[in-house]
Amino acid sequence: MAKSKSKTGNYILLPVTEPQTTADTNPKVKNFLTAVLEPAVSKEAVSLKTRGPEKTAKKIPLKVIDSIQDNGAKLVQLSEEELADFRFSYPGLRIIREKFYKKAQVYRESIQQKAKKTRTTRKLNLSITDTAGNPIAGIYIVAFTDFESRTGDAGNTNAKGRLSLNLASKTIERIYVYPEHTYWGYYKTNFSATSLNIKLQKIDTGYTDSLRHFYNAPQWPKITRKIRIGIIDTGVGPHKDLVVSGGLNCVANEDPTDFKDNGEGHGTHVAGIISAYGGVYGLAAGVEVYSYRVFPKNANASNFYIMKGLAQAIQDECDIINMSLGESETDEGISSYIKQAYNAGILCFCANGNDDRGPVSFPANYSLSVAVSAMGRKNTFPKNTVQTGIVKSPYGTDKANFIADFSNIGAETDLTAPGVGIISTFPNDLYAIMDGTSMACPAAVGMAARLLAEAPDILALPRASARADEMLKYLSTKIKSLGFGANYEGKGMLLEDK
Amino acid sequence: MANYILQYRGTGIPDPQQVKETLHICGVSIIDGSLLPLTALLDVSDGEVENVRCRFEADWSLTPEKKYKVPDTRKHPEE
Repeated sequence: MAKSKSKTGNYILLPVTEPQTTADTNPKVKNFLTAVLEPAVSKEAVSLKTRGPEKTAKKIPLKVIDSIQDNGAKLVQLSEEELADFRFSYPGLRIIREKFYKKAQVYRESIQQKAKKTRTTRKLNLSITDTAGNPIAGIYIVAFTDFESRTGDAGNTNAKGRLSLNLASKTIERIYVYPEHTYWGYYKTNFSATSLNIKLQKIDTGYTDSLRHFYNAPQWPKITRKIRIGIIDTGVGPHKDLVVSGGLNCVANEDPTDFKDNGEGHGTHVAGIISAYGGVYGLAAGVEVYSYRVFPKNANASNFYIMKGLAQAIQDECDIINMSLGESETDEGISSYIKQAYNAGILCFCANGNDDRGPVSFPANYSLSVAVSAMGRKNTFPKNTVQTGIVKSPYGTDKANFIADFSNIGAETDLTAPGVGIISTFPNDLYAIMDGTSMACPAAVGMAARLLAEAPDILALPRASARADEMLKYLSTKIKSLGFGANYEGKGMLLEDK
Repeated sequence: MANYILQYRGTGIPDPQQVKETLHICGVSIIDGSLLPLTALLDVSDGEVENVRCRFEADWSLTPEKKYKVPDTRKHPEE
C-alpha cells in the first residue's frame, strides 16, 4: 500500500494529564512539544523517527498547523496510515482527532420510520442434535428471509432440541445456529425448506483455531515473572484451566468478594484466551488474573461499575487491563480513570466493537487506550459453521487472513488480533467458541504480557506514565503489519520474534 | 429518581466530610460511595439535578449513569 498517497487528518497533541506540560510531565513529552514541535509552528513541517530497530526506523512527515502556548496543545496534520505508528513511537501524548460541532438542530427528515412487521405465512421446523443424534436444548437459532431488512424469526430449542420459527416465506436467505458452549455453531444460506435437522459438531480442544494458528500457545512455557492482568467483564470462572488471584465484584448490592462469572461466560472466555492452562492454552499462562465483575447477570454494566473496576485495578497494581466492552458515546468519567491508570504505569487494551465495520467504539477510541480490531483466517474453523459468514475483505498479504465482517474499524485502531472462531474456557469446566473484538482484545493482551515478561527493566520502572510509555514503545517493536491497511489493523499484530 | 455519577475534576483531594454534608443538604442519597471523595453513585430526583450541580460548582461533574451491554456478534431479527 502506498502510504504517501493516504488521506491526512488533523489531530490535537496534548500531554497526558493537563492541557500544558507541568513539572510532572514526562521530560521527553515536554521536549517534544516545546523543542521539536513549537519551532515548527512557524515553519513548514517536521519529520519524526518511528520507534524500532535502527535499520527499520522510518520518518513520519508531520505538519504543525497551530499551537496553544509553547508548552501546550499542538494541532498537527499527518497521514492516517502513519497514525498508529506515530502513537506507538510517541507514547505519553494524548492524540485527539480534530472535531467540528454542529448547532443542536433536529433534522426531522432523517428520522427513519420503522418497517411494518411482516405477516408470517410459513413455519420452519428445526431439530438440533449432536452427531450421535442426541437432542440439544437451549440453542439460539435465528433465520432470515431478508437479511438486509433483518426480517426473520429467532428462538431457543426446547428439551427435545426442537424449535418452530414463523417466517414470511419458505425461502431462507440465512440461518445461524448459536450454541452457548460445547459445540461449534452452524450457518447456511439461500435454501428452501419447511423442516431442517442440524447436527452440531462438538468442540475439540486440540483444534487449531485462528488464535493457535498465529500463536503456538500449547507449546509455550508458563510465564514465571510477576505480571498482573485485570479483566473488567462478567467475572471469571470457575474453571479448572484458570487461576483467579483476586478481584472485586463492582456491581451494587452483590457480594463484593464474588467475582466469579455471572453465568454469561464472556469474562471467562476472555480470561482463557489470556491465561488458560490445561484443556486449552492461553497466550500468557502463568500471569496473575484479577477479575473485576461489572456486569450483573443478564443486565448491562453501569459506567460507574466500570470506573470502580478501573479504580480497583489501579489500586491492585495491575500491569495491563483488558476491557472487552464498549459503546458509541464517549464517557469522561471512564476516560479519567483510564488516564489515571496510564499515569500509574498501566496499559488499558480495549475492544474496537462489533458494529459491522462501524466507527471504533468508546473506550477503544480514547487516545490513551490501545484499540484492537478482530481478524480471522480461512480454514481455522470447520465448514458450515457461523464463522464462514464472517469472512470479508480486506484480505491481508497472506490472502487467507481477513478482517472480521463485524469488526469496527477506523484511525484509532492500534492493533489487530485473532477474534474469529476462538476456542476458550466457559464457566463450570466447559469450553465455548466465541467471535468478537472481545476475543481479539485479550489475544493482544496475552501476547503483550508474554512479550513484556521478557522486559524486566521496563516492568521494574516506577509506576508512572513513563512506565506505560516504555511498555508501549517496547511492544511497538514487536508488531508486524499483516497488510490490511492502518484503518483495519493499526500498526499490525503483536508477534513473537523468530 | 435516576442514578447520577458525581465526579471531582479539580486538582488535589476534596474533603469527604464536606462532600457528604453537601449531598445531605441536597437530600440526595448515596448508592455507592466506595470511590469517595472523588466519585460517587447517587440517587437524584429530576428536580434536584440542577440544585446539586449548583452546590458542587465547576470542579465537579454530575452525569447520568450509563449502561454497557455484554458485547455480542450474534445476528438478531428486527423486533
